Amino acid sequence: MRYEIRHLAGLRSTWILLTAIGVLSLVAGLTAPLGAQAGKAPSVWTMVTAFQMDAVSLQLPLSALLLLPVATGPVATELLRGTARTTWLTVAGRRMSFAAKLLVGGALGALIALGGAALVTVAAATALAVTGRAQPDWAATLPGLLGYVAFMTCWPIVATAVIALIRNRAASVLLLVLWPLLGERLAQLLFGLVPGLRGFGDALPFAAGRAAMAAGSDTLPEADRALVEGFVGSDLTAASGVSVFIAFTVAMAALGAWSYIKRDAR
Amino acid sequence: MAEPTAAAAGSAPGAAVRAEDLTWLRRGKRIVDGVTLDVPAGVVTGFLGANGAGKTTTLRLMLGLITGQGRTTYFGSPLEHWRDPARVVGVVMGGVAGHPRHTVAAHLRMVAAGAGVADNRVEEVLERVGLTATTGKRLEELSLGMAQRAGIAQALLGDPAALFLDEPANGLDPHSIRWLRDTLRQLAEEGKAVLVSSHLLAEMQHLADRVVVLARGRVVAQTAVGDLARMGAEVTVQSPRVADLAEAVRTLGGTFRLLGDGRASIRGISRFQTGDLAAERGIPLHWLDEKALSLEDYYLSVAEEEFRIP
Repeated sequence: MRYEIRHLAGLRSTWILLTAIGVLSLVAGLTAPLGAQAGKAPSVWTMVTAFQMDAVSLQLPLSALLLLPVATGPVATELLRGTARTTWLTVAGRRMSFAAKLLVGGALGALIALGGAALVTVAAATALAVTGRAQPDWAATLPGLLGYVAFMTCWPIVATAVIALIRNRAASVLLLVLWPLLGERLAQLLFGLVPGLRGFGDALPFAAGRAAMAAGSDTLPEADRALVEGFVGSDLTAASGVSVFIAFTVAMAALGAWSYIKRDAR
Repeated sequence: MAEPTAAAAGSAPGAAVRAEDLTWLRRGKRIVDGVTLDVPAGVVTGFLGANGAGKTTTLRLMLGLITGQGRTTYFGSPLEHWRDPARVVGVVMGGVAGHPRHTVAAHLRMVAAGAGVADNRVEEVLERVGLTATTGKRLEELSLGMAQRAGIAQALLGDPAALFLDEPANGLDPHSIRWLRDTLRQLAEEGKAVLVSSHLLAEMQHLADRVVVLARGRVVAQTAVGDLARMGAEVTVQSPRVADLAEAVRTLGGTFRLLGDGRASIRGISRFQTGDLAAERGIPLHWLDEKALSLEDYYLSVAEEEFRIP
């Protein structure tokens, strides 16, 4: 674990990413009260989307996109730079090496989610207090936050597994961006055309992941809720969405481990 | 099985590292073909072979970086049975294999963390390889010589009992080659098992205590460098009666070959024996000279035999 932590800590790009997420979290927190009506607290959904830094939260959290280069980095370095021999001859073998990459990636994702959410919370609470507005029901934001943390913990693990399978960083990043945004949508359309298979579309992994992060959308007005549900593209509950995404992550991690362990080093 | 210990590794008698019947095929062709070799502690073992002979592939097989047939044990146990492989074997294969954006210090601290050694060990190894002034440089900024030193520093971090170096002198300037030779000799004197692969025969003659010759993926010879002088020294004599020496030389088991101009080449007996033979027979000698078999002569002879195999 310490080996992989130091691998990431030794890179300037890691610190640039963390700084960017920190700044975006502060901005998201400080601007959260802007949408609230005077004298009223921001809605739970406003705060849940603020945790995810809003912009593309209904498809993939912005922080997840930012995390992608770091999550794919350790395996990519071994593929492109021939550093696998350094890793495998330093830590006790390939299994240990891959397990450490998954654990550190997952921990970094969780840390980013929790740290970012903490910054959003502090910034938003301060901004609301300064502008004299009511605080939202923070406790009600917890399910959305937990779904987001679960997604962000799993996401680097999926990214590491995908690059271990594909063995090409650019292709892995493209797949990880395009599959949730476009690939699954097309797959859902195709499932919808086949009688009896429509339910499978709800359980596609990233649709399930979006459902996990959409906890709190039930507090929206009817019209807004329908829009959000359309973006999410799954009828699963947040708890079911988390379960499906975790199961998908475990399966991907196993496939990635199989591919990583059986390959040779340059 | 119980986890082997580094202390046991340091005190293991006999072959520190033993590779047995290593074989590796690529597209049906045997790149490494039944290689068996020992790397004893306390000596520098030269691993000789032409480019493409299979030296690097053999090293990778020994280290488990690629999978093939055969088995390699380090102080009695396969490398994967050791909890901290960096404490068992240090490896240098073409400079330092790390992220190009890492600084030397960051890279070595990462390896130290993986090897379970304290951070202050990084300063020690950098001091040893003379790289203390470049700790803040990125790996991509290192010259070939610096990268080689950084690679050696990395290999030494875990204070391993064995060291493998693949073509370490490639691209080095004369000062760095001298430094490398002295460092490796010193490490061997400290009791480490040092295996150095190279096709630079003159360099290896200065460095190695024993050599293993690989040709077309097979070990064709193993010998101590010190034995080369006894194996095939060539004595040259010049005399107006040189032909009179021929029968006496053959009687002692030597070979005699006329070179013309009153000169002859003698193998299988020493210059002392040749001088005594001439004196006993009253043959005047105008020239008596002995040239020891060089590593290059030895390598070319054993490798040539291998190439004759259809």
